[in-house]
Amino acid sequence: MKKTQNKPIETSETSAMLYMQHSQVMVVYTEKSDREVWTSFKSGDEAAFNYIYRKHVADLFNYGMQICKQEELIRDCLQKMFVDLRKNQAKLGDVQRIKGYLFTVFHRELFKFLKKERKLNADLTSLENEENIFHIETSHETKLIDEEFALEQKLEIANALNKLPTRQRQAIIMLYQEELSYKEIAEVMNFSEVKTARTLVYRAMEKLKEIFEVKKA
Amino acid sequence: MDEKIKYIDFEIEDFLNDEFFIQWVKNPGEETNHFWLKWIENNPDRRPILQKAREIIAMIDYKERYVLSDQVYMDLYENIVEKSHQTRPDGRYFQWSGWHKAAAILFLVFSTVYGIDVLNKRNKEESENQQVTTWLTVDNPAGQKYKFQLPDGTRVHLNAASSIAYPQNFDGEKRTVRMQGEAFFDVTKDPNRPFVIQIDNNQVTVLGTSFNLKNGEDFELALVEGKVEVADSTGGVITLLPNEMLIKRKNGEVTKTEFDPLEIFGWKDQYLIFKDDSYPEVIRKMETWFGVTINSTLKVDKGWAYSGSYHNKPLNQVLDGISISSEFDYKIKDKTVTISNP
Repeated sequence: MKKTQNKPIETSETSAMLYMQHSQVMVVYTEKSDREVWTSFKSGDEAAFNYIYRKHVADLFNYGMQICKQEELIRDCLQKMFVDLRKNQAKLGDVQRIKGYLFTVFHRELFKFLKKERKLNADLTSLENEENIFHIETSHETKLIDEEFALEQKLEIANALNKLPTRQRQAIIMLYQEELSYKEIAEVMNFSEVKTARTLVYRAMEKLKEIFEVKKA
Repeated sequence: MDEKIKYIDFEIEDFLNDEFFIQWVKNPGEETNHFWLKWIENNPDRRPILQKAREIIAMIDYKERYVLSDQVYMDLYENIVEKSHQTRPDGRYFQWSGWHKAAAILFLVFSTVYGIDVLNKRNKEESENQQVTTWLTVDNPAGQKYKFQLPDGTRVHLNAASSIAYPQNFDGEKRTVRMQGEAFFDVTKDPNRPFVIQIDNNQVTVLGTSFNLKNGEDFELALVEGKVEVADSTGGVITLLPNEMLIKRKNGEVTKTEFDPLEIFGWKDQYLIFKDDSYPEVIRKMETWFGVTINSTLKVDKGWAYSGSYHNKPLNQVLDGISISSEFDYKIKDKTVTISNP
């Protein structure tokens, strides 16, 4: 290591500088905690709402489509939820994690929609038959060094996961893929105790343990 | 209870059920990385179980992912804003202006960019305020890494064969540094003075965050915490969120992927990592890491690739490790290594 004194370096900052300053404006929201963004939204800040929508709408849409594959219904449901939130914004409570909160509200809203829909339309696929929702895939690229599982094992794990009860699959995917906490999963799935969510995942993993323990060929 | 002791008896299903562990796999931060890398080091026999648990968590995904089209994204936003303002109780009327539309569209391409008026003003102020600054350079030869702090308290791990130039004092509206090679930054938070790294045609802007930046053949930026933006000379901006890595190749190809923290910045904690590396790549990495010159007459197959990780190991042990799978002889004399067929 050597330290030297140099002449001033010419920096070519003209166009690039512009973008740096854009980020200064943007950072108003991204550097804030969820709680602060939510407070701004509650006080009627349009840009804060824009930020919330941008960040979460795609995940919510995908989540809804897992439960009911009717795009129009999911869109209507998202619209109703966001419109209601905006209309009642001043009255809303504090929120620590926006994603978990939106998932909970959206899930509740979606089931209200489905209930109404089912009354109107008797042919609608019954949700009691939940076998084909929240299907899991084990992606082949995990970007880890030293992979412990061979491709066949990954496929076997996916198979076993998809044979689990729907509620276990849903909890697993929300925990690992959506990165919700057990507390948030319990809220979304309407469990009175957080422990229930934790147990759901534990039971599933215990059941699959035999497959995990097979040595790589 | 001591966290480290708690994990000793953990079976795979316990790791898979543990929020602190899951958090590390999905969103590694400097603290969790430190904890888990240390833990693996202290419990080498548990490594396979932990690695399997990591892999399971990382590979679980929706079988079918439903994507919101740009059109629906826009329409939905427009409807929400219109519908909720029709009956606003306080009587404020909302205008669906181009400002909002532009904001929503731009996000689809590269996060949001707005507030042009503010920028123009600031730009002028900036140019009137130019002054001469003394720049310092830290220059690492191959074989040497260096850890130091910039005037604002930002911590830098500079990898071997890399250099950084920075002003003696950060007295401008932003903290600008220039670099070559590879470094890990833990940038001190200062919302009023963005931290800017100027590197070839790319400019990386941050406020307070930690990330690894490598500018060799390709430009590689891996973000641990916070948020960074990369602007190129043509004005394109890409935003990076935690756990994302941006790769810009010399041929112009740009990709965003996930990454394995150990592979990308294990180097700063003395991990020398090979991941499906070609023979020339393995040689190059060893030369840079140990500051040696390697002469090789070894003939390798076309598909030759090597993976392995070495923590704090001397050159001969690394060579021993690689030679197990490749069967070669080597001699080390001073700073020169000769590799040949056995």
